[in-house]
Amino acid sequence: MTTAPSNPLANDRPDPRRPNPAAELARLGRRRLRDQAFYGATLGAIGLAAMFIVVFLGNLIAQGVPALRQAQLQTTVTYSPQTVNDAQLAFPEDVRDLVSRERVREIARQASRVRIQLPVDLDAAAQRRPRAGLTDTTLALDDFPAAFVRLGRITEPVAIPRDAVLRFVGRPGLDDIQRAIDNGQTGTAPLWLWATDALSAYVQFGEGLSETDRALVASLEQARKVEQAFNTLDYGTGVTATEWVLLDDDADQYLKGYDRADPRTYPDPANAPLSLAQADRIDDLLAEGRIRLALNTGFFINGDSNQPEAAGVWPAVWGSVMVLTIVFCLAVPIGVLTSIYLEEFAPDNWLTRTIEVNINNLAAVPSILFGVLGLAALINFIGMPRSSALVGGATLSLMTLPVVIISSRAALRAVPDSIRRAAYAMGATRWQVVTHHVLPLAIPGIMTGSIIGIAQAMGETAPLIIIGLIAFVPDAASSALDPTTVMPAQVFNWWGNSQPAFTERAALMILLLLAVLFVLNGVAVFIRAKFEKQW
Amino acid sequence: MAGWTLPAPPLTLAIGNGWTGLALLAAAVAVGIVGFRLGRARAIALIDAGKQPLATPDYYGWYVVAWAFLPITLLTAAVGLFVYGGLIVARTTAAFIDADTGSAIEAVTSLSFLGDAAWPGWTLLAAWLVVPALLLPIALGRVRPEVQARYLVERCIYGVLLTAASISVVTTAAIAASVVFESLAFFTHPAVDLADFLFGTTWNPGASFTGDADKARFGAVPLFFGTLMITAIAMVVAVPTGVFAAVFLAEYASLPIRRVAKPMLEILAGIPTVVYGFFAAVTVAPLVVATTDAITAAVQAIGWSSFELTASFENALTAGGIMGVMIIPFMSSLSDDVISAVPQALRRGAYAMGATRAECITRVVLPAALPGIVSAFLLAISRAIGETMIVVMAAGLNPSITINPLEQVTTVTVHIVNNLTGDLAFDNPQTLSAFSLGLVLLVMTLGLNVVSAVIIRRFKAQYE
Repeated sequence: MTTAPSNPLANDRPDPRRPNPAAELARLGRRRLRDQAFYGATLGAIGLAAMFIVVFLGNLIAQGVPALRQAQLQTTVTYSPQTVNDAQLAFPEDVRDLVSRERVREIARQASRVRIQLPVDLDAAAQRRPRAGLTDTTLALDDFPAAFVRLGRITEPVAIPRDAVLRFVGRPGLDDIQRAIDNGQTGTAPLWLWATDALSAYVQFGEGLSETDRALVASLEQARKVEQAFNTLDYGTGVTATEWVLLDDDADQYLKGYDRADPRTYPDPANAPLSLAQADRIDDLLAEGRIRLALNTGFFINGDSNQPEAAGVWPAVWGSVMVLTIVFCLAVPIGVLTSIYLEEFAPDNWLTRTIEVNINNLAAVPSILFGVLGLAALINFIGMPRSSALVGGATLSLMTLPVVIISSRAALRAVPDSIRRAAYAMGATRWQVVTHHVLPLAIPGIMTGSIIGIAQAMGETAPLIIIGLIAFVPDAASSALDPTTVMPAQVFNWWGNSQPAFTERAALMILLLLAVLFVLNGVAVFIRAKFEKQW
Repeated sequence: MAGWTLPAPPLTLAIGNGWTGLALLAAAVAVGIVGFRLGRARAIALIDAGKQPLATPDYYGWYVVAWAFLPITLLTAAVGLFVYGGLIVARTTAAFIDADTGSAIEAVTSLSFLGDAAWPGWTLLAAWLVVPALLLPIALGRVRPEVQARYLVERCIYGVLLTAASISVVTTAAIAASVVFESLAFFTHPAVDLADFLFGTTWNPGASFTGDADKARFGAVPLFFGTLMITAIAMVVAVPTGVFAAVFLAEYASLPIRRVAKPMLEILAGIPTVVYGFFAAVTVAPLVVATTDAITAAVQAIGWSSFELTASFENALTAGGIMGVMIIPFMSSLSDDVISAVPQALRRGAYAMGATRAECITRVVLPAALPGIVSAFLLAISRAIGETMIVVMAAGLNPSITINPLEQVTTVTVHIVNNLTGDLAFDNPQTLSAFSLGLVLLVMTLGLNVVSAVIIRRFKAQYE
């Protein structure tokens, strides 16, 4: 090392720094190998991501697509007074255990909605609200004379706290009281009052009440008895028809060939969902052509149910539409106005900087904290109805706001200054410059950002769980103030249910959700490619 | 407690019978439209009469609208500030006053007009129809050629824009306020101790629900530990994959390949987290369990009979791994940006010295991009800490401290969801604990975000 060659052009002497050409060549080879290995690693990373996507989508499709078909059974259905009281009787004995319990309930539901019999002090009620009508539950509460009330047709009065039972009286029930007063009834009269939707849902589906109310009803062993308190509908001597009816989910899963549903391959046959006899009977019916796997139209048009074969996505889709409409109507205007302010109007002062820092912070806040905000501020403080599309939309709007603002600002900034200067030169005011010139040019970028924000909001679940948008919704909500659910929350709900048929439906729901998201993002990309100008 | 027993909130009934309210609002809008048309028509008439007004007819139309609606808008804002400001003050005091005395509640309910829900709502709605209608003639009288209609209108527009912009500030403040106030209520609760919350290792809030408030323990260390563990697993997956993918995109990929590969990674970013959670819980977790069982069987077959590897169906590995996949696009797109921002001259210098491509990247480009990558790393951690659905569905609820990734752990977010979705009352410490966990989450994510922003600003200052 110490004796450097005096003549750098003399190559014949061995260079002490390059002692061995062969070793040098080997070193070069190793370097090239490392180079290749590094390239391979980067390629591998991309490949890993691609592989995950393929496996992921493939797995979801494999899980979800079978739910597009649903087993049906051809059978006679008898509608008669007996079947109203015990809907099981509507079906022939040999298929009774295979028919979906939802179908059984449907027959019961044709009889009536649920009513409760309560003794009401009509004089007190009339005195309290002589003209205006009983529009307030709390007022009606004072008019019930006794802490002892009667539920259904039970002959013995049951000791239930009065205000607990009042929770079961729906708004139409209050109208019933008013009608009784208007009809001139006086004194304390036992009235049949319409029950709340929650109680009706509980009687019909076993769900819909809060934990405490359900405990109340269940502990009094009321559920079964209330169920028998339907008003009977007159079917005359009875009607018998031949129909295709839904098959129970266990039979459905068996027909689709899953081992987990087949008693013959089930590890513990005694606990299998179907018995061997039932499986044989299904095979026979299949051979007779009385069982078929038909297109599962119910999945798209039905409401939620605690029977997987009858559960559908419509209320969740409708809920998503309502929530996203609210998000679109709130987040996009506010976001665009904010970005116009920051890009076109704002002076460079502390307030503007505060707003900018805040927007960046807001974009980094975990989505679940928006749920906490929705619960504490929007529900408990402002008083929006829990589980409603309104509170869901408002919460998600706040979450989507930074996305819209950031993309709108980028779109506004991309409009060249020459356009603004030209407009000012013609005597336009600031607002005219913005609305006549800058904004129209920035619209494609704003639209793209808004659609991406909406797509993000569409898949968001965690904040919505906290503000209660995982309600059990048998029918689509009629207004933005009613309890509802949204598509991702419905996936979560069904996932939480242990029956495999629900998992299958959750997977199909995911495919639906992903398809909508794909279309939304595709539209955003299309708008960007088609309309956005490069200056 | 914290004043959850407030009087009936004003807005509920103000919008309660929505149709009447909507009808009134529609009438107000109609007044506005009429005002605009009349103002414009008057301005056009002025022009037809040969006058030269100082603004275009449209501006006179808006001028009339602004004149008619400005007073009632300001009035509504003032009433809103008064009502909700009063509620905020009441709740703030309520949060500080001892729960047992109940004096705070009385103080709040003494703002009795708040209980009369009809007052602000209906009166205001009616005023929105009446006041502008009364002001309309006066406003129309002011449509004169010498009136500078533009100034008032532009001033109003500025006010509207500023209001919209301040919504984000209000939102941030509201998030902070909602977690801070309830956290205060939580920490002042007799069953809770701040030191125990931060350093205690037993998380058993359920006892407070069953009535054994003395036995309830709120030591959040297991939750912090589980969060860190799952985050660490996610980072082990996401950082190498994300950075290597970014290197591929920025350094190796030709334009056509980039056009395919980048959207492909963005697909991963667009998948809702509940879908990842579903995939983790339904597909990956059973796979992990089956794999560990197979490994156990294989090793025992070799002869090591005491060997046993068991995985829980809800385990940290599944949740962390899938969360890592979710974060890959986040990591790769941010890293891609910073790698692309490294000046070309640095690469040319490295190649001129005879470096191979890999050497150029690992010794020159990546070190230069390191601050940006670190910033992306911090943002990714913040993302992982705040992620909820994957851990709710795949990590479980068991607050244990374990280094075995095959066992159940739980996270801060899981318990926020868990404690806020029951039927518990809001004065229950178990419910309130969710807010203090939220506070911890907020502080951690915002802290990471700020540090990351500082680093990336320095990085940009270096190369721009």
